[in-house]
Amino acid sequence: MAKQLSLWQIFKLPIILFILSITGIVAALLVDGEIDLLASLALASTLIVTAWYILK
Amino acid sequence: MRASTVKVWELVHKWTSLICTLFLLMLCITGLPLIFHDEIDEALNPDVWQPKYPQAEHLTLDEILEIALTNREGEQAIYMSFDILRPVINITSGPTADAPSSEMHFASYDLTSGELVPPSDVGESVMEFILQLHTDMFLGLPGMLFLGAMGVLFVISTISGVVIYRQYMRKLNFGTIRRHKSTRHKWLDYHNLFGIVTVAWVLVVGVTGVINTLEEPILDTWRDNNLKQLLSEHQGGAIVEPSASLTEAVKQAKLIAPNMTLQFVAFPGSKFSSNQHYAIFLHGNTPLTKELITPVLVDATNGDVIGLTEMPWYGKVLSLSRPLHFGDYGGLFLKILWAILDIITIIILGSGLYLWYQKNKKTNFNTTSKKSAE
Repeated sequence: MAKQLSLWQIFKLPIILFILSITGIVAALLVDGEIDLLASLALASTLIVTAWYILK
Repeated sequence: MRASTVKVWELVHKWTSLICTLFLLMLCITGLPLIFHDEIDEALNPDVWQPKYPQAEHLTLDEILEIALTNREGEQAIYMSFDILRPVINITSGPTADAPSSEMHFASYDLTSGELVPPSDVGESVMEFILQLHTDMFLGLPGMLFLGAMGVLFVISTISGVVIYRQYMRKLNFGTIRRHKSTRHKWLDYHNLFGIVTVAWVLVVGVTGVINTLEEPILDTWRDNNLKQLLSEHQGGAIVEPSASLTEAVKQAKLIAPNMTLQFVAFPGSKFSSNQHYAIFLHGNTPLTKELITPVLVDATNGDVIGLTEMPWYGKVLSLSRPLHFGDYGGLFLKILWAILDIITIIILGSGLYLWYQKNKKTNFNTTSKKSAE
């Protein structure tokens, strides 16, 4: 039987992605212009990570 | 976590999801084209219109208003709004200022010549249909509040999903998809992965969606509390015929609200004003404050400026909930992300339904086979 994972091991990546997403969503509201792209990238990180895990 | 507690969370996840899933599917599907509302409008209505005299001095608001009301004989002005990019003024009129929206007439005027601007409304009826379905399913306020309740269930379902995620992932590394096992295992893994990575976005769009369904009560409260307070000594009486200069009123409003941009004017008797005042709404100029509007009230008979009232916190929350829900505040790339996340949510809803169906089938099969064995 596989080893049990700790709470931290289970939620480490989800928490990082949560923070990145929220940062992107809110930052895009506070800025205008070119920086919007950067904010969007923070939100996009969650999709990039997901795609990487599915495709690997 | 105790086994019984887990059971409760699983029940919460199952039932909140089951009740709201069909409505959420409808919202996700109708929401998809709404994200690109502006782009679709632009594509269907290529902007070929040009102001008649681009170099000319603009007509005054009073002049435009006079032209508009001459064109609509016997009607009252209800709202005046301003195009952002073109020198165009839009005037909504009707038989009375408090006429229902079905009796309102909308016309756009060239600020350089006073001539009518042809409407650019190709495809608008389709988008309007989708928006209405998305907002209240054609049921008015009850429909809106009902969808709000579905949104609350969806938010609870998301939170309970995060809680039980732990149980499913105790022995699986993040992102594991068990493709070699049964279809059910595979879709459970996709459901868990997609669900956990979209939590932030789903909660933002879900909660702001719920707040948007409260638009009417929020606007009513704002009007009743703040505007009435400002108007207390001036309120009452019948709807007046505006006689004070609107051009002058707007000039005064801009003086007491510097660093703000004119957004729209509500005429006496309309939903957004009192019976005796022009309500002149202005918005801020930073990315954040441009969502927030502030009304300045000016007496429509003698031009006296009554004052300005800042939006209460719940009005601000509503104003910021709109862009955060529709994702139309950070450029095209953000909209594309919104669309992808929306599609992923559809997959989460669909796979959730599938998993529930499969589990149900299995349980039914187990109980029947147990019974036949007895």
